[in-house]
Parts: sequence; C-alpha cells; structure tokens
Amino acid sequence: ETLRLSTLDKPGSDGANAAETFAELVKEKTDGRIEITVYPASQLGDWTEVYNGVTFGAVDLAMQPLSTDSDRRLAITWFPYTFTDYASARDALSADGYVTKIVDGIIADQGLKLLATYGAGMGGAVFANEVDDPTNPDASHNIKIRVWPGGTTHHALMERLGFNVAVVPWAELYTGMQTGVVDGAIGGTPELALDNFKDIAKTWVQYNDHFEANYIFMNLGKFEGLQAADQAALVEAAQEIADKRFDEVAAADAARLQQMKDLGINVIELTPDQLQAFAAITRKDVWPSISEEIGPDILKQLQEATGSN
Amino acid sequence: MTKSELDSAEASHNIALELALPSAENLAHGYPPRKPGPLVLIQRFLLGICCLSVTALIFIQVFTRYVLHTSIFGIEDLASFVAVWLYFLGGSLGAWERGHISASLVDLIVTSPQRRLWINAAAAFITTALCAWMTKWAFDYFMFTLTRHKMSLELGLPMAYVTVVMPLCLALMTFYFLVEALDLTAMARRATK
Amino acid sequence: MSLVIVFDAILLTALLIVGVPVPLCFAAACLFLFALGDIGSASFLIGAGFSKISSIIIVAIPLYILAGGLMSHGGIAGRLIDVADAALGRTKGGLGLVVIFTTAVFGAISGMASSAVAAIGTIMIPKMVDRGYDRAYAATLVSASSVLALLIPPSASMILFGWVTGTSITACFLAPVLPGILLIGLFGFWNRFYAARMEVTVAAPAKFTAIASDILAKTRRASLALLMPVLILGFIYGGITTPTEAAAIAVVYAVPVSLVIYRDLTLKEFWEVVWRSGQTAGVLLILVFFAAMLSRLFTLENVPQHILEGFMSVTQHPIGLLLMANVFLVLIGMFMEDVSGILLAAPMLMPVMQQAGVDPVQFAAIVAVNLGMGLITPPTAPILYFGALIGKTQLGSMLKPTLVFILFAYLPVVLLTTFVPSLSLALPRFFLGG
Ligand code: NA
Ligand code: NA
Repeated sequence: ETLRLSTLDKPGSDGANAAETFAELVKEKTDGRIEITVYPASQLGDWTEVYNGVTFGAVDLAMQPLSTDSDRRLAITWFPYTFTDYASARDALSADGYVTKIVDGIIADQGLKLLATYGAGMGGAVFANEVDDPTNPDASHNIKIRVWPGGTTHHALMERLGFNVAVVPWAELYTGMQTGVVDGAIGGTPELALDNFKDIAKTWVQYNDHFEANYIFMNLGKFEGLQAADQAALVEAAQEIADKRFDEVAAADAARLQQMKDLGINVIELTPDQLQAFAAITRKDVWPSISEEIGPDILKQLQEATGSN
Repeated sequence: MTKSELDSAEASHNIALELALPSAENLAHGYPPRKPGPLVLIQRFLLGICCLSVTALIFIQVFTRYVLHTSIFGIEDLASFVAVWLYFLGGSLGAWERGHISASLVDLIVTSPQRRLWINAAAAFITTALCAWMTKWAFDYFMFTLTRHKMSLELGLPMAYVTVVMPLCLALMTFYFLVEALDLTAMARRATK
Repeated sequence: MSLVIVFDAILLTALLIVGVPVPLCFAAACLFLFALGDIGSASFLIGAGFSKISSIIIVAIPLYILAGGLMSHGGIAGRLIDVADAALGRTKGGLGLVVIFTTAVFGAISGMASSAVAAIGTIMIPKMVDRGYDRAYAATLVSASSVLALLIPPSASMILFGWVTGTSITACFLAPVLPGILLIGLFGFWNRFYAARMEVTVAAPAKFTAIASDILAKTRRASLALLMPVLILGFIYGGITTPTEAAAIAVVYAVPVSLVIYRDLTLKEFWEVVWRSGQTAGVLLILVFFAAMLSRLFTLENVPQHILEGFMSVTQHPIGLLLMANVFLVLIGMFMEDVSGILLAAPMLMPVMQQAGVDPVQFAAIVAVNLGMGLITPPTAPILYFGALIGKTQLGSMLKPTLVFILFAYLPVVLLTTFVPSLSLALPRFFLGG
C-alpha cells in the first residue's frame, strides 16, 4: 500500500529529509508492505487544508503544525513561553509528555492518530531592520511585525513586547519586508529565517517564545485499518526520527545561528536571566488575555508544568 | 422611451461592456437581453453590498494601521469571507447573464446554424449536469464545516456561514444553466422546423 | 505519463471545444480523475478551491476591477485620449500612436484587456476611420494594444499568477512592464508603416507654444485620473501597503472622483458599476475555484513532475527547456484566454522553470507576454473578437494586420522576455532590491 505524506518543509530541509527517512524506515520495518510518498513544500495545500485533508483521508499522513480550526485548544502547541529551553520542550513533547497527552486526546476526537512529534527548532523573530533594545521586554518599538494568520496568541505577545502587529499573508511577506510594509516577522525557526529571508534579514532575535513542533499524524481510520505489526512499525519509525531530532535540534539551531552571523546578520540571543524575564512577563501579562484559547483545564496543566500559578 | 431612458440604457450597455470579460462576445451578441426577475435583483443587491463592505473593511485596516498605529485583529478574516460570498454571488449572476468564460470553437467549425444551436444546447445540458454534481460536492463540504464546528482561525467565526454560499450559489447556477439549456433546445427546435 | 491523465486532457479539450464554460470543463476533468483515483473524499478538493479563493491576496481582484470600472466609465478614457491627441495627434500616424499610448496609460488604471478595448475602442475606432484609417486595421490596433492592460500594473492576470505560484504580487506586477514598453515601441513602428500606406489626413501643424499649452490644459483635465496609478504604485512600492490594500485605497479614491468631481457617473450607474464589478470578479474567481481543485488533483497525480520528465527526455539544456515551455504556452494561449491559461499552465510549468534556473518573477513575465499574445491569437482570440465587435468590422479582415502584430511585435518580445532575464527582472530588482 502507498500512503501520501504532506510536509510544509522544502526539499532538502531538515524536516523534508526527516520525512524521507521516516518513509524509508516504514518501508523497512513493514518489509515493503507500506510505501510512503512524501509531498514536500505544501504541494498538497497549506497546513489548515492538509489538516482537514488528513481527517478526510484524502491525505494519509502529515508532518506539520496542528490547525486550531476545529478546536482552539490546540493553540497549546505554540502557546508563548510554555518552555524556554530544549530539555523542557523535549519532556513535554515526548511520547509520554504532558503536551503530547493533551494533543493526542484532542485530535483523536477529530479522527486523527498522533504518531510522534518532530522538533523543528526554537522560535524567534526575523527583522529587515535594526531593533532597538531587543532584550528589554518593556521597550516600545516603532516596528511593524507580522503575525501569521490565526496567530492570536502571538498577536497578544508581540503587542505586549511593544511592537505594532500586522497580519500579512505568507506570499507577500518577503516583498512586504523588502518594501517596508512590515519590518519583521515572528513565528519561525532559525532554519526558516535562513531559508526564506537570508538576503534581507538584518536582525534575528532568538526569543525562544515557542518551540516549533511538527506533529506526525495520520488518519485514524486508515491507521486502524492496518495490521497490528504495521501500526507498530509506523509509530516506531515516527518515534525514531522524533528522538533523533531531539538529540540534534539544539545543535541544528546553533549551527543556523552561526550561519546567520557569518552572513552579517545581527543575531541577538537572550541570556537565561533575560529569557526568564520574558517568560515571567508573558505568563503574568499575556497568558490571562489568551487563556480562553486553550481553556481553563489546559491552562491549569500548563501552570503546573511551568510552576507559574 | 424618453431621452433620459435611452441615455440610461446606453450607459448600462457601456458598463456591461467595460466590465465584461474576454468572453464578452457571448454577452454582447449571443442572446437578446433579458429582464432580471426578483431573484436576480436580490442577488445583485447582496453582491453590491459585498463589494462595498470588502472595500470598507480593507480600507479601515490600512487606516487604523497608519492613523491609530494598531491593527484590528481578524479584519482580514472577515474581508476574505465577505469576498467568498461576493465571488459566488457574482459567479451565479454571471451564469444568469450567460457571461461565463468559454473557449468554444463551434462557431468556427460548424457552419450550419441549426446544428450549432443543437451543439450549444447539448453543451448547456452537460454544463447543467456538471454544475449539479459540483453543488452536491460543495454541499458535502458545507456539511463537514457545519458538523465539525469548523471555526475561522482569527475571529472564531463558524465557517458554515461562509461555506454555505458555495452550494447555495452553485445550485442557483445549475438552475440558470438549466434554463439556458431549455431555451437553446427550444431555439434549436424552431430553427430545425 | 499515465493514460488516465491523457484521457483527462482529451475530455477537457473536447468540452472546451463544444462550448462548456471553462470552469465546468475543469470540474469535469476533476470528476473524471476523482472517479478513477483513490482520494476518497471530494471535500478535500472543494477545500482546496475554497482555500485558494478565501485568501486576502486575491481580494485585490474585485477591488482593482471596481476601481478601474469607476474610473474608466464615462469621461476618463476620453480625457486620456485628449491628452495623447494633443501631444501626438498632429504627427503622421498620430491617431494610431494615440491609441497605443492611451491603452498603455489606461492599463495602469484598469487590470483587464477587455475594458481597454471597450473604453478606448468605442471612441478611437470611429475617430480613426474618420481620418482615413482602415476600419479593420483600427480595430486590430486597439485589440493588440489593449493587451498592455495585462502587462502594466495593476493586472488581474498577474495577481492570479502570483497567487497560484506563491510568488509575490508586488514583484509580479513589475515583471512584464519593460516587455510592455518594448511592445509599445514595436506597435509604434508598425503603426507608422501602416499609416504610410493609407490615405490618412493629419491635422494642420500648429505653433509649438500653442501645442504645449494645449497639452498642459488637457493634462490638467485628466490629472485626477492620471494620479490614480501614481497612488496605487506609490503605496505599493513606497512600502506603505500590500497590493490588496492599495486596491482598496484606489476604490476609495475613485468614488469621489467619478461621482462628485468628474460627475461622469450618476448614482444609478455607480451602483451598476459596483455590482457588475462583483459579477466580473465572481466569474473569474469561480474559474480559480475549479482550477485550484484540478490543480490539486494534478499534483496528487504528479502531473507537473511528468511534464518536467517529458521535457527533460527531449533536452536537459535550459534553453531547450525554455523553448519547449514557450511552445507549450503559445499552444495554451491559442486555445485559452489568459486567466484559464495561467491557472492551468503556471503550476504545471513551475518545476520546468526551476530546472531551467528561471526566477519565478521572470516566469511571471514570460507567462504574461505569452498569454497576452494568446488573447489575439486564433482560434480562441477573445480580445480580437471583442475588438471586431466594438469596431463593427469582420474578424476575417483583421487577421492580416493581427498576424503582423503577432509575428513581428509579440513574438520577438516573447523571445526576448524568455532569454533576456534582466528585461523582466531589472524593474523588480530596482524597486525591491535583491
Ligand atoms: Na493593468
Ligand atoms: Na488565443
């Protein structure tokens, strides 16, 4: 049987390579019973479309963020400052992590099976300009920053951090930053920024505002229709690439930051104290205004996990 | 007709030509002009409102960004959803006016006017059937957004309010195509006699 | 390529030829592939169409149509023609030049070639015939020049290209401008050639100062219309707004100008322009809707990849690949108008362009000139038909001058755009850097 897997990542990126590895592992572990065709670079549609596509069973598997269009609580997957370091991200997103359990519960109701979570990288913001006083969470910047459509949580976050927020579609973002309609964008990893904005980026601020995770999920009906050995093989293969990535993700991010510095981009990394200050302010000032996105139950779990109630 | 009525009719004709698509030859000399019924007039009214609201929403967004240094969250959501209503209302009116884009070569290939009409009628029946099928597909999608409580990403608006326009207007299009098919069949019959 | 795809293409072509509207031809092609495929859920396809048309980027289309409709109805075309006439009318072949320049400037207000034919043709064709131009030639010149509306921003076709290929519309708008200017030059040359062979009367020469003050006065009368493209482009390239937002500003600008200052529109006409713009946009976007569905199915069936492989089996050389892509586009242009052509061909040829190392922005210009030419290339030549209708002439008599414009104006520009990247990339680079 041949299954279709969609990823947003471009061919040659870490994510697309991992998807290919996943496909190979599955083929190996199932003795060739299951083959997976990888459709990279959003060929099968943007992430909300593909998300629905997997619930329909038109696309079998995806490795991408989860859409909040059926259940807003999935905003937990990019809720700002849930973790500020790789270790806590790994704990929360591993097979028995608390975020994994929350997500698994929600998407199972939508007819989806979570296989594993692939850690794309720590988040930050890219700017086509200089940013004054970027390490001060109380600074007021006269800078327009783009938030992705649907990024309710980061709209509130970036406003609190003193930016003017604008929603610009992805396709217009590059030229929008070139012409100055917006000055920067939040919501990506160092790899994403390098891939897309290398030529115009002046500043990268490693906010660690969220940990970008690509969930590897499958149509539940399709999954359950497979024989037990193949089900196990799929989960195993997904866990394998997820684990491997968590071993490597910090180094991968660091390598990208170095690449940016070599290109002359001003890379701003926050000290652990500064990160704690950003996290504390976000949890105090921003979380109350966006808590209805994830609802009281998840907020409580989050506060317990982060020790911030 | 009075002088002002004639002027008005001419202005209307000019607007029709200026805003016609490349397929305007259908619109301009394919069929005699028809008087719009109440259904079409209501659609035109809603369509005009959609056009003006989309303009207003996007203009407000720019205005607030530059004058008030903030952006109203979700205005793009709303504008693009009104736009979907606009497209489907407009598309179905296009079917009423028989102004859909086509690339027919019948006029070039077939010399007999009767035969041409029969081919046109057959094409219109095929069109009707296809449109009906698409209506069914769009209805299924609407039901998906309704039963799964799909919400817009920014405003949390139920998507069913938006997706409902697709089966609705595709059904209207099917109806207009059917009327065209029946008209053409009658014309072909008369021409063959 | 699989047999199923070949049958699908045959079905699509057959339905097009018998006159089924293009969007439903796309729907039929979808149905056929769906029935034989393994996607299992048509909702995924409807979702693909819905997602494409519910983008804020594409909202620019109804807005530019509305802004252009408001400005072009009534006196604007006349005012622009007066300016060009004052400047060029007294030269040999002057009225022809007036047509060429007016359509170019009008193109900066309107996004559609058909509007240019209607607005300028209705005034200029009778005028040219009065002065001794051949009627068929006048209609041909108007039709051929009207394609400039598609090459000079704003352009509905470039918005669609940008959207289906994920390329910035800000950059796509600029790509076909220099090829368009080249076309203006070639049209001017051929116009002089034709005018010399007709008994054309030329207005008596006047004093330079008189001409200058006439031009100034006429320009002042047209200044509010001329300001609109300046505003649109200024907002976009000055980094103030996105193309969609600039379109909304253009509408807000056009309302008082047409309704209050120029008084070209009555309230009743204003309302008709509003809903008719919506109808026109609707007809276009229904096409986008079904094309997006078909395009998604083609991706699932790896059609773009098959096309690339097919091309590569003939040659791997970039020039060869580009030539084949051009032949493909010319063929599409012969049988389809620009919008359907872009929706169908652009996503399919994207991998070929990547292989040939062509910048997507240059590809935008290649597609624009090719499919622009397609609008006057028989057998499916909607702008030529429209020109014949507006010019009250027979299509047959227009074919000879059309052939000259195609072979000796469009085709050289198509080739230059294809093989000289800087022709399309110079302006985007200048305005956007990079
Ligand atoms: Na234009
Ligand atoms: Na053609």
